[in-house]
Amino acid sequence: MGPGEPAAEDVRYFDGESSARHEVALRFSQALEIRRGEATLAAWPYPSIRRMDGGPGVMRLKSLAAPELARLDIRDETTKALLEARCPLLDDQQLRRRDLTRIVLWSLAAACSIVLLAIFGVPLLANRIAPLVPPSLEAHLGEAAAKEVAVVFGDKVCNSAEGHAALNDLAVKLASAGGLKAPLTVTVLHSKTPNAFALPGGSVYVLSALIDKAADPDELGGVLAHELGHVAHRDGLRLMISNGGTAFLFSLLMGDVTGAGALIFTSRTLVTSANTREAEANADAFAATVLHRLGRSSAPLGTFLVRLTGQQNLGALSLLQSHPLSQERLEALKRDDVAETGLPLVDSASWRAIKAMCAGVDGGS
Amino acid sequence: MMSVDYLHPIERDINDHVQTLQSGLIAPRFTSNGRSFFWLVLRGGLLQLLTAGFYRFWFLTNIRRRLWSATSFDGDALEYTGRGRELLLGFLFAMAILAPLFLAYFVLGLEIERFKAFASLPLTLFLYLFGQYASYRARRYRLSRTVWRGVRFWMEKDAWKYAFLSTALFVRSVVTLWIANPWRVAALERFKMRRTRYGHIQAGFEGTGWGLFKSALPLLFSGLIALIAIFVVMARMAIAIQQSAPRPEIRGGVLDYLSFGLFIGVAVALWAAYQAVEWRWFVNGVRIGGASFESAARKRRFIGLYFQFLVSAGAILVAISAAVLGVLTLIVLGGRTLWFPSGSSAPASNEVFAQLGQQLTVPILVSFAAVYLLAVTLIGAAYRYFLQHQLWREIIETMTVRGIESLSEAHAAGEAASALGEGMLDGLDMGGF
Repeated sequence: MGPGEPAAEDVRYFDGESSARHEVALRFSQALEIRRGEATLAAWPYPSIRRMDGGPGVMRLKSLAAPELARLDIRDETTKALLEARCPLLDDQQLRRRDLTRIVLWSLAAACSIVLLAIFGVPLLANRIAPLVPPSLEAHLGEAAAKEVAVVFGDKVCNSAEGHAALNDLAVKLASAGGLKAPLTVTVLHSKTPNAFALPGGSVYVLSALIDKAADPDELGGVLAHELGHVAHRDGLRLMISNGGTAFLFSLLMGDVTGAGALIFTSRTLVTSANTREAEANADAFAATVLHRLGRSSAPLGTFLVRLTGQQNLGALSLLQSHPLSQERLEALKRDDVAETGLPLVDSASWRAIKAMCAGVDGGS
Repeated sequence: MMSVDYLHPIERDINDHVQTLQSGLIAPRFTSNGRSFFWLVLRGGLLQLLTAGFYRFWFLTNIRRRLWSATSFDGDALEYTGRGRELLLGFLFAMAILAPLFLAYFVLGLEIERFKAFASLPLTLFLYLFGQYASYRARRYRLSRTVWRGVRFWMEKDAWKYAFLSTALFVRSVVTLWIANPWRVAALERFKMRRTRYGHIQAGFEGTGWGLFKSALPLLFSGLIALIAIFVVMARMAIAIQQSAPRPEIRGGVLDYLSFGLFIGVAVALWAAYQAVEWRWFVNGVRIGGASFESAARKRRFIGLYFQFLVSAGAILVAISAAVLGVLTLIVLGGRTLWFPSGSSAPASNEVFAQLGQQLTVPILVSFAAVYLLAVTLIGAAYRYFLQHQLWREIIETMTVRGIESLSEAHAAGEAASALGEGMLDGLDMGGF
């Protein structure tokens, strides 16, 4: 290139109609004139000119007044400066800091709305949908969940005929007192964790350590009645629906962010534990009603819970707890308690049979 | 704002002179500065973190704009004209379509769960079919946003046909234990390239399944031999350790880790080498009008890049773990002075931890999630640098083009396609770059 004057090859023009490369000269008049020899190939008004990606060292321009893909590639620094001075809206379509802030703020707003939807909207929706789900579908869901239980606990089922019959009698007694008509199955699994849970469709699982730790039939019966409360309220189904809903919402948010799994897990733990506290309180109320109808006190259930979980009164922890604090629950169970007027829930022979259920399974005590 | 200052001034001069090898032979150029690309992806990754993922549409767009505009053929750079907003819209539309589909998939899956095992196979195939449909449309979108010399590339609409073909061939690959897969890859490339246009000029693909099979075969053999050799040597060492060495359990443990590491290393090297082979085969097969392409992409360069990525990912993990340990130590020391002032007996670290765990469960969970996501972001940036930017550099810089002059008279044709396919891939968790 000659000194001072930009050489012809410094400016390339593509007219957007064909891929031919035109070596052109520029004339700065009323508009930017793109000239080849004596002919003017195009005239671009300065305000219509926008910057596009030309790669390193190349200023690439387009014009809103020209065919969509018509381009002007400029390599000469002086010409670039002249154009930058003349085109007022050169960088109008570029993503600026202001736009970036807008994207960030809108994203945060969207994220907030999705999280709020997950916390408040999904449980509400689950409450509305659960009654509409036919029992047959609920049973299918329960079967799918039962397979997962089998995976987690293996085949460590405690299968003593006597104990099983006694436990079933107890469950049927409690269920009929609660007006529960759904078919019930009670399974005892060998485990060192004292716990019990109900699946959608009426399968109740009792872990052997819970039976070991129960001092009398009222304690075990209370926990069983609590789980029947979940069955009566179809809490398992509701939890499944809302878990599915939240998972879907959060995956919507994350798209293909690879680290999404951890975040989904954390947020779901937080969300679902907030939702289930109310369900637990309701199941407790159900258990209390059932026990009172049978003329038994509901206080042993409360003291049993406190004994199992210890005195928890740590502020931050309670947010993550799926069950309300035992102390809180004990108070609630004691509040409208009745005097013991009914017979024991099971006779002493049956109680011994239940306590002995897991003795044969490995490690059972 | 996209900056264009990512090139050393000296390189700009070279850029102005098109490298002409022999008459009619052109070497494309890739003139992107690696360091500034790394900052671009790091910044994008952090913004993506900050926006709970929503920034990804603009992030992807910025990466493509950078790679495209730094790639020039015959002295003129490609241009990516897609925008983040289009991707966002595509994603939203795709979600509207996918949401009921996922629901139906879920309910159907439950219903046929009772017949077990093979019952859900048709559903999986259906999802695969849908993914292939989306991938064709996504390619169509990307291609129609690719402009060279003021004329766009584009693709004919044939996504469903492609999806069915791809799914059928996928089943064939599975049935033949993957032996027929090279022919599947070749057939799909032919399908896509024959429907690809630059302006009015039709593209094509000359690569064959047999060609890919032939060039992958030596890799397969050398890989098998390497794995068997490692196995034999390690087994012999294990026997020797069992018989004579002192403390066999420790030496055996070291040997376990060593052989595991070696197996992983060999597998990664094989995969990287295969990528080089497949790229070479692909580039050599591409025809656009009278233009043909030739690739000399080096296997050892690909292997090097894969290992550089692995090493940097490992370094990131080690650095972050060290930082976390340091912070935890500080917290324990601080906690000890806070809860147990001097005078009372200071408890052991694990007691402080237990106390902390009970009091700060939520903050601890949140900060672990944050550290995890930060690690993922950093590793993502390393991935994009080594396995996208540097890999692309190797592919472009080892390429030669013959007969590019036949593309100088292409007439503009085709139109910009919608980003629905990209959104679907995103929703199906199959999004690429």
